[in-house]
Amino acid sequence: MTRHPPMRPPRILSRLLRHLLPGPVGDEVLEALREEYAERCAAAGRLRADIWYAAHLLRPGTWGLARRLAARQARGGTSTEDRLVSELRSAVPTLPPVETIIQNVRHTIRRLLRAPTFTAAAVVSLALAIGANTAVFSLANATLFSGRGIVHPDRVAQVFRNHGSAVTWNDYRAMRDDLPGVFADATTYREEAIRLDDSDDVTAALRVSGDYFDVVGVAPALGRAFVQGEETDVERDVDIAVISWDLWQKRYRGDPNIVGREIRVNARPTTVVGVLPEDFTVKLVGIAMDVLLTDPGAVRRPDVDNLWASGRLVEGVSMEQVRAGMARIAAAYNADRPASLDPITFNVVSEADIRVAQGLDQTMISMTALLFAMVGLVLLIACSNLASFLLARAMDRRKEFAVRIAIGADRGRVLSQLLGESLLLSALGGGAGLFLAVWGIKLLLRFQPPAPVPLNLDVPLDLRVLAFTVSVSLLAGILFGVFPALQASRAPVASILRDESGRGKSWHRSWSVRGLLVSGQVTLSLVLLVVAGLFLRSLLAATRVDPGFEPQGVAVVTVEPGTSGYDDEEGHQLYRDLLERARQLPGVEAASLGSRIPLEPFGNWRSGVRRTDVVPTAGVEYQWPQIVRISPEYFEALGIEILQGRDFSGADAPDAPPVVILNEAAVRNLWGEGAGPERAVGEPVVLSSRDDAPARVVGVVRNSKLKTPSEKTEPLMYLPVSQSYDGTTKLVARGRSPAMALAESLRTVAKELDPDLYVHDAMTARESMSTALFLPRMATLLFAVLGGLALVMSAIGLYGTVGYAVATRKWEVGVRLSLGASSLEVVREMMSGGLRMVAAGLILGLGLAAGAGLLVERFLFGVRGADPLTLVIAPLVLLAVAGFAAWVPARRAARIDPMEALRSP
Amino acid sequence: MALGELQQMVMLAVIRLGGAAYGPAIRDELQRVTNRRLAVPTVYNTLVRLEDQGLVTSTEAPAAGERGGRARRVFEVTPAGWDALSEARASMNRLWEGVVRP
Repeated sequence: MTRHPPMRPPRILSRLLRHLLPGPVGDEVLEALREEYAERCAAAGRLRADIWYAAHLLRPGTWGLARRLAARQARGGTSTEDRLVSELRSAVPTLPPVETIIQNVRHTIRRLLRAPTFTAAAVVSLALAIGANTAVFSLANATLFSGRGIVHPDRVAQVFRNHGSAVTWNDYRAMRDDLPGVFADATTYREEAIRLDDSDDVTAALRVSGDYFDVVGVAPALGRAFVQGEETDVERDVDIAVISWDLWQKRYRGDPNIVGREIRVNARPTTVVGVLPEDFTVKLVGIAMDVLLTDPGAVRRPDVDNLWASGRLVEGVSMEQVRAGMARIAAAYNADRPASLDPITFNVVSEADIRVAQGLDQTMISMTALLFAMVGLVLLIACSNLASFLLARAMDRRKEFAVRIAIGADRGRVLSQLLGESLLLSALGGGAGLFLAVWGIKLLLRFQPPAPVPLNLDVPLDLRVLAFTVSVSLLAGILFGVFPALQASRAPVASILRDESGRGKSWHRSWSVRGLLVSGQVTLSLVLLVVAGLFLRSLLAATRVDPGFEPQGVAVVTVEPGTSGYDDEEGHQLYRDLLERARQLPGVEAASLGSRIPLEPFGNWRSGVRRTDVVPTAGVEYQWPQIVRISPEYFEALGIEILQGRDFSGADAPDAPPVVILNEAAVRNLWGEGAGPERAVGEPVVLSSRDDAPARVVGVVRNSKLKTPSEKTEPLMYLPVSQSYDGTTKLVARGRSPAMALAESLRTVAKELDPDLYVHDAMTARESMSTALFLPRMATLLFAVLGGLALVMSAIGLYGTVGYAVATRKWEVGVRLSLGASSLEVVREMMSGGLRMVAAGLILGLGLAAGAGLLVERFLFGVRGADPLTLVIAPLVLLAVAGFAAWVPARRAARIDPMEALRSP
Repeated sequence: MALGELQQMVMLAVIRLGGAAYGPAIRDELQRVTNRRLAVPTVYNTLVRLEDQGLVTSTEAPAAGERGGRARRVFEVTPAGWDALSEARASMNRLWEGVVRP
């Protein structure tokens, strides 16, 4: 049997101790500790022994010995260096020795534990406030402050059409070929939700073309990148993909033979040719993309503006030169365009100036700034609450301090002790706040916004976040601690010691300071409440908007024959079978297919359309309404009114004359503002997708909201799915049965037809609609939580202040009651002081809140920033809560027994 | 100079241990007799303080085999230490004179 060497204490701890305890005595102490450590390890386990050993670093005995040994060294040293060192030591102003600090901390902890309610309330409110700040910061850190992984982004230009729109393949070709010497590499990319390996989950993918890897400046860690030319190879049999390191590790378990492995993308065999480096994430609009695919589709539709384009500049070329070049391309376009149409412009932005995404940055930055302002206010309220409580505590302990100062403690020490108390509180609050923030963000990310792909938002808890939390906690500790500490340490010793009742002038001053703090809290709370109220009103306004359809009783389910291996012919057959089966379901009144239903926040499918009687000049004079591919009965199923003409019918077969239906907005777009539905019905129009034969407008329907309730009405063009097949559609049905059950039946119908068919998102139209309100709802929820938090904290502050006043004026109340004052009068008197502060805060707050309302007006829908209703209701709510918070302790005053109160000192 | 309780206890333990009064032994003796377990640094802190005050002295004793051959410091109470101890005891005795528990 081998004998284990005795366990040794953790090196870092023994080194620290050794450093503290020099010389032979230190040797002996460490030796003795080591022996006992080994014994404790054997008896109670390593962890307990470690804790026991570490505790020696905090023992007063250790520090006392350390000081003695250091003094000995300074005295006993005889060499010149020793003397020099000791002289230097005496010359340097002495910092408080570590043992004093540790003693102070221990002392402070003990004192805080003696007032557990106060300590708990303080730590909890600080934790909530600091946690909210940390959460907002780490979200901003994850989105706005973290780069997008592009190497030398200042040398990469992103090109937009007009202000921030996507470009077409033709634009990209012009930018690549017609500007020699400007772009070294150029690429297009667009996001796509794909079905990976036939799973029912959606994966985020990026379709790229050109020199994507060179533009971004990243090389695959394994395998290879796409090669020029192959990325748009339309004829290739097998698709190729580059996948993220994460996907490789998680989904393919780090398969060493991943390069060359065949995976399935939208039911097509696809070969993995490369894996991205571990530290590189492809991000688009802050969303991590796991699969890079080539984009043969882009070449097929060269005039559809659904591509993002970027280029890396040739060495020495400036952004200005790029802008000039793109302006030349735009000029060439516009030369052929009729003057009646808006000219095309290009916008060139350096990637270094893009935080998350062009067009999104402004909103995100101002939203983040707003959130910061709100959580900052909550922190201020928490701080003023604590300042108020500490002030009261300091007043109660005034005598203690006065005695200590009188017997020779210096004021600085009293000050530092009080400040230490508040810093310790804020450190505890900060620690708990960090924990709350991590938990809160997890909770927040569970509310997945309704995106076509899962949002893998990575919110790291990195050093920046920690540094932020530490600074906020420190700042808060100083903010709420410094005033009470100054007040207490400046106590006029003599008068306090003389004045037995302890109610001198400074008590009044403290009372008025606390009053100011309460007023301030009320002011800030009112601002938060008004903002929360405005967002609530805005949300309500959005839900009341007429969406242009009747969602009651409607259910939808998405089916994707396109990603399940169906060709167009088989897809058509599947659609016919689906409709037939859906119509046979009990209670179904109408069933239809549609590429989308109203109020879906995602997806842009457009088609060019123009009148035949407008002479074409250069092929760019189309209007581009959003299109919806539908089957007959769509309008009936969704309750959209047909204003003129007819619905599609079975007669609108693939080989029949092409037909379209327009909404009112599209009619006005094509025939001018005053044009009514009758103007369009029967008219021929030319579609950009099939300009060989004009299509006929057979009907005009009511406008409906496409993406959000707050949008301007979008022109829509409905095409029969029989004449313009798409591999993805929604099966829509209206029934008399509950929509929830109907959605499930639709899913079952589709799965019964083909168990391998990709079927997802079975839901009611109401559920689908609610996704359009996701963001306003989240914003309202957040602001409501913050407003509620502020309200509760202010109420606690007022409760504490009035309660303290009642406690200190007990004697006076006793006198009044015994002189015949009614309890009602006493309550009124006690409350009036508190409510005066509230009133002052409300008046100031109303002005500020109206200003804040104007600042947030841009985020609101259907309600003005200075909304009278909100500005009336919010102060009333605050007043009611404040009244209650003041009434509870005031009522206690009225119940005071006058005899007892008078007898007590 | 008045002696604290801890100082008196440590000095008495040193005396009781005779020539074997090194740190850990003093600590063990105190625990055995008074049932108080002091931390190692506390014992040494008291010893060093007493030494600085001239109430104890220490000499390096040759290593005992079982302790791994390390030199160790053995403490001894000085005459001044004896004086201080007796004075402390005498003061206590004077204070106790005539004190009867009711």
